[in-house]
Amino acid sequence: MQTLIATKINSGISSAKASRLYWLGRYAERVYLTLHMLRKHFDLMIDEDQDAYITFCTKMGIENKYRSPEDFTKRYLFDISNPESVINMLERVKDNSMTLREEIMSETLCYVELCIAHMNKPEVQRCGIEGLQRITDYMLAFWGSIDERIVNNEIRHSIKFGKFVESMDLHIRFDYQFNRVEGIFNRMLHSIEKECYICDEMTLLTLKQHLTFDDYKNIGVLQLINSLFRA
Amino acid sequence: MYSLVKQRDTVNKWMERFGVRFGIYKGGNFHEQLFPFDPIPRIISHNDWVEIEAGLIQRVNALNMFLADIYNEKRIVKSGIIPEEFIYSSSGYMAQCEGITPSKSIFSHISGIDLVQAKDGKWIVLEDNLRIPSGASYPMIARTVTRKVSPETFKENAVFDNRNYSTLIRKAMDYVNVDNGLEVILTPGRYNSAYFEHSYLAEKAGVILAFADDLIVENDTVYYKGLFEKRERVGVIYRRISDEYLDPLAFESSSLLGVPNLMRAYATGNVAIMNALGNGVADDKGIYYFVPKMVEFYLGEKAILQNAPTYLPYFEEDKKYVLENLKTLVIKDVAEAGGYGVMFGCEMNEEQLANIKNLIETDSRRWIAQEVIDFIDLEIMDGEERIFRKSDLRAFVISEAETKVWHSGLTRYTRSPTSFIVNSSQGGGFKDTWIMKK
Repeated sequence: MQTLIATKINSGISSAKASRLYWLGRYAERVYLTLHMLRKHFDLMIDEDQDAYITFCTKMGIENKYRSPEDFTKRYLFDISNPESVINMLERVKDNSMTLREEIMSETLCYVELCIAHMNKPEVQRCGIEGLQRITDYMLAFWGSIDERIVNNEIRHSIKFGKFVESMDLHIRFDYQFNRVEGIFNRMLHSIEKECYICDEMTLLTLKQHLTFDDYKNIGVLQLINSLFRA
Repeated sequence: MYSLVKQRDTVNKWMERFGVRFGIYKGGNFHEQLFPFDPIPRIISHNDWVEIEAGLIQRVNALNMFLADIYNEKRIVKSGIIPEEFIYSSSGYMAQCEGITPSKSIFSHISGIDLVQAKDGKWIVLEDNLRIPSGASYPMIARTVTRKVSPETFKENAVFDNRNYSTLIRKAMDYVNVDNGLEVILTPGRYNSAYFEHSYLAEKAGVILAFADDLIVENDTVYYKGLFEKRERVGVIYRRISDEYLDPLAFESSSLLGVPNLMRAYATGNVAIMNALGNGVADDKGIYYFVPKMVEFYLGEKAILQNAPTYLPYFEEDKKYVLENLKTLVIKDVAEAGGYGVMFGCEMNEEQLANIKNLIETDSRRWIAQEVIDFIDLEIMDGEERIFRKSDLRAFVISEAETKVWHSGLTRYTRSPTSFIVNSSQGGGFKDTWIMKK
């Protein structure tokens, strides 16, 4: 069995690597939460609101270029040529993961590979959103693997910082209650206070002042959340 | 082994899960594809291996001595063993490396020696790769997977473990590291054909995977650019970028893959580069002809491993033979690699033969000719059928305080029944290589 006898620990984060860590967290969370939000909207489309996908597009801040619920299902989920599609989000997760293999480990990267292989199966594409529960399961395993396998706190917290930023952004866009958003914000604070140097302190202070029950849905808050990263 | 063959779909699923791919450019576009894996391993007996191992160590030691000599005293040229022209006209020779002695005087830290086994059982060296030999990660991860999928196979067969390749690389990096600096693998990026290997080796060796923008040279010293202007000294770079792209200020000025002034830091001795710059002069296909002579010259020994019978049209006598026997020879362009520039006389029509004759006559240094080795075919699985295909073996030799041979290798096979070209870039697949313990 392989044994690493060398004693020197090689560790370093360049600004380009910090950016990849942050965006890995953001895109991975975007995949997970987008599927979650989509399921709610697809449920509405069953018997309450056939056009719920249009509301979804508005909340996501993307153009509704889809001709019908079926067209939306096909192109928003599986069309690789559509830059907003879920499969494209996964490709961005893969882009960032591949360049971070030595930090996140092959065992974590595997879950991204499994997601993409699953999404590309014709039988899964025929099923639509129902076929994507496995993606959600893989993404949860991905996050579990991030927590379990990455021993370098700076690396782990940088990825999770991206995750929490994305999570706050999407929860606000999809009108979640204040206490939910505040809960995510507090989890982010808990994480970055430990060892994370890529959060801009001044922006964070301003955000703390504006993230209130009355103001949290203002566009300015979203802008602050999306300006937290610095490297 | 039967269980391994039976479970090849499971093995391939695991390979997909680990993202075991290689990149390929087709029509100017980048594609990633799985590297086809055949479950039937190449098996090398313990006795065969003992001889191969000794031959490889001897050959790589001689090649390292040649490189040290050629960039310094040039005794082998002065002694008339290798014509001067062969050195200076080699595209791999770098005048900028004259007088430079790398850390611990090692030039080729990782050498990939391509061998074939002739039908009489003899192992023959086809090519030396001393610049950036790649491919070791594939049998390494294949073994990880096959041991998971078919543990009984490895209970029943006493095979050397090959998962220590990254440890060997790491030890070589530790050995040449200058001032205990950071250890990095420098990759040209994820659109390189061997990117999987760069990232996988960085993970398994416990070193940093660096991109050109992550490094900076200040005061002839290489630093890793940390967050907010933090600088950390780099002691060794295992570069996966060709010489000409490594430093835009010293070599190809349009290169975005390299690090400006890296050559200065290297020449000053402030950083070790694995493999050293300028090694291309030793793995030039023309220089290959002289390797058995190098062994005798530097080590005073007869070469244990033989070359394929090779002719240098540069020598009049050889040229005459080559031109008369073109139809039975394989012609290689010394400037090409990766299976390109290899032409079989028996496959050429009259017009092509006339063209190549003309080229050999006008630029004889550019070509070598070899007898076609009838090397053994290995069994591979094609669906449910066992068929035979040509294959070679790339052995990996690691030079640090001692020269060691990795107890495995990359066995590549051609997927076409009529081809001798095994390169992955030309559609070949790979097998695990088992070295038996007894």
